[in-house]
Amino acid sequence: MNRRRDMTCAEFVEKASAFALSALDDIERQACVRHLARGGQHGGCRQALAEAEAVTALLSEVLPERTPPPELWHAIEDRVRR
Amino acid sequence: MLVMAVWEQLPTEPGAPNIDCSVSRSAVAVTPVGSSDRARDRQLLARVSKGDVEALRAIYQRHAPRAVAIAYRILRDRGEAEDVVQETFLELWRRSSQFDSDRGGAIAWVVTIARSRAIDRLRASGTAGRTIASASAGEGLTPLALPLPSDEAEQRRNVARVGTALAALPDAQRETIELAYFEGLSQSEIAERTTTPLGTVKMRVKLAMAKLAALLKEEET
Repeated sequence: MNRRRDMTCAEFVEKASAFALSALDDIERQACVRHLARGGQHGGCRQALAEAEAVTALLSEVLPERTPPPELWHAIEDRVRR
Repeated sequence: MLVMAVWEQLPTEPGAPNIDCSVSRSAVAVTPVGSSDRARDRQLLARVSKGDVEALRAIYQRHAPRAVAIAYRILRDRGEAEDVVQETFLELWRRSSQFDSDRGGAIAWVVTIARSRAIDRLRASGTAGRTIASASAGEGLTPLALPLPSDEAEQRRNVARVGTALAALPDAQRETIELAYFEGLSQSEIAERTTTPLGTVKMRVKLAMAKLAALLKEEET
């Protein structure tokens, strides 16, 4: 892939699932970021990414939740109150 | 190069393009929390953006267990997982005003940050993929009977429907998603580890994600 050439919307949509999974290699990921950051009209890019993100968010639901120790909140609270 | 959550990779300065990468209206159909939960999160995040620590504590209490779960699953180290969760909520504290809470759930945001931070650590330590053996042995995307509180019936239903959707995937596709999502492997790394052509891995990711989205929407309706 030519790193200078802008990715097309069709190319982004093709990669949206892997992008949402953080499974792209660096060059492809950076190309996706640049594509999203550009202005103007997009051809289904945001929709494709949103749907992929929704699926990836759900995947964590098959894991048993783990209650953090009380000290963890105290550490966070200490930081934000500084 | 470290992994970054999508929302934090985009321009945020005034005048920058308004990039909407949050969950869209159609995608909301497969989000894991109910409308009342989202409304509560929206209110809490609005308070967090104004510096309300108690609101942050409320969000933490609601979503930290899931953040710990995903971070621990990726890192397999409780201390590191807790560090990631701390970073996650500090990030939420700093960036809460940037969150489009009308269109996406806080839990998705928290999970995305926690997972990205965990993968950052995994890749920085050069141990990405270290848990492949255990994942292949059946510790991966398996529906679990969780001891959820009785008032979280919706969450219980989500666990079941996600598990059902995953179980419906062909084995190779499920394994690919598992290696990417829980082991933090890139498509190239998955291809190398599984001795599968890269193009095949890419196709499996695409097909599996499309199938999951369709199955989860079917379950929703």
